[in-house]
Amino acid sequence: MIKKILKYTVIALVWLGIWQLAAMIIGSELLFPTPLAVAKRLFELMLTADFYKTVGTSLLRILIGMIIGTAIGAMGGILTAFSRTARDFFAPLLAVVKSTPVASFIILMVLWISRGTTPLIISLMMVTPIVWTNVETGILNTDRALLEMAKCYKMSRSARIKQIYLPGISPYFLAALKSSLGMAWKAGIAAEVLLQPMISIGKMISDSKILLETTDLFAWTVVVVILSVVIEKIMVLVLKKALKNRAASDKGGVTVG
Amino acid sequence: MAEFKSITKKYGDKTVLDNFSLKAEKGSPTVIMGESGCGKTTLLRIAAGLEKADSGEFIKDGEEIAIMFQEPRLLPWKNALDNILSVLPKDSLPIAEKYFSATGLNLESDGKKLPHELSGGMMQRVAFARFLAYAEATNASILLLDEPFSALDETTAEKMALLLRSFAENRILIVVSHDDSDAKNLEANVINL
Repeated sequence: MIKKILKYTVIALVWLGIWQLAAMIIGSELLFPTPLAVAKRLFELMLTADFYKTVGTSLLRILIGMIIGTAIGAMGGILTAFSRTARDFFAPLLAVVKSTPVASFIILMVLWISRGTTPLIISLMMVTPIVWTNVETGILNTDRALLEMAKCYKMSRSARIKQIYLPGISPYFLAALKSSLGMAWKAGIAAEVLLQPMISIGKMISDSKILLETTDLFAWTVVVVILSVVIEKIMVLVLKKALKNRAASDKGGVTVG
Repeated sequence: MAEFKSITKKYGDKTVLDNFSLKAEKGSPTVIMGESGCGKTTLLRIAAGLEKADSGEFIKDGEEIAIMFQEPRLLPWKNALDNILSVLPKDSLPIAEKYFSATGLNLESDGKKLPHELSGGMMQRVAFARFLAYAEATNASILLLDEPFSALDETTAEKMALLLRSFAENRILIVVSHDDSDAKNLEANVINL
């Protein structure tokens, strides 16, 4: 454990050194601030109440989008896995959502809905198709031999879901969350940068660009990066735990019938 | 009584079962023998309702069926004992433990192991224990087994056959195998496919 921490500390220090070196070569705080200046500015921001209000508002907005997107994706994946008609019906929609540039959606959304809600919808749209596809694939790849066994041993529908489908889908589901949550967070922030809702990280980034406060821009970007990692880690951990608890609660036999 | 009545099954142009008929009675074990790909497994799958015959039928007079597959088909995320409990009604722990031990597995050590931690022979014994426990719990009177002892050494296979023979005394027992010794150990009627 100590070895691991030491290894990652060294890696982080090396990258900070490269950043420092690059800043020294460029020699302009306006274009490329040093890590120390960014850390100092971040610390100053963290001492203000507005910082937490801004981060909290952006976080809440985008998290709601992620959660709704995950729920829609999971339900959609289940639907299209079990219904060929539904799969064919939704395939064009998913293809369009997956291949349309985020910027197009942001601009369209601002025409249709409020600035504050757009980042929520954008993060939702990032998560939904990935979760949808992975849940569908997970169900379709469920071991047929196990399903036959369940049929012959007359396992109830709920037992099949809990003991065969859910454990089979969970790696696909977690992989979907791992790849989509970070992306959704960044897309949500991008929407905020473009639309500048009153209280948002995106507005702070946009303002720092307009006012040429590069150190602020870097400080807010660091916040976005840190939160991206934290969100992904926490959500994956929570889901892993939830799936594990579900498996543990299944012990001791099931309804046969 | 269980009866395969004029079963025909084709896969594309290939006929694997051609007008096959067989009557099996309680207390009179039957072993269906034949080379790989001759339709032995298909017969059991038709009897278990997993496949449909092109013509003919399997008649079982409403009796309950228990089947053991050629592969163990254990849930990879559940330990050996929980795999047995998974197919049993609630409060069936004593039955699960009884057959777990009867198949020569150690409840304390093997029971907690996940399938990937077991050898091929041990997995087959867990599947066998699950099959017996399920048959007892549901009072199944038709027992269908597909190569049940193929992964076991000779001595263990003989012991398991003895256990199956006594379990199936008042039941209908149909085993498919390509191994002569299964028929001998089960003192069964042999049908060559």
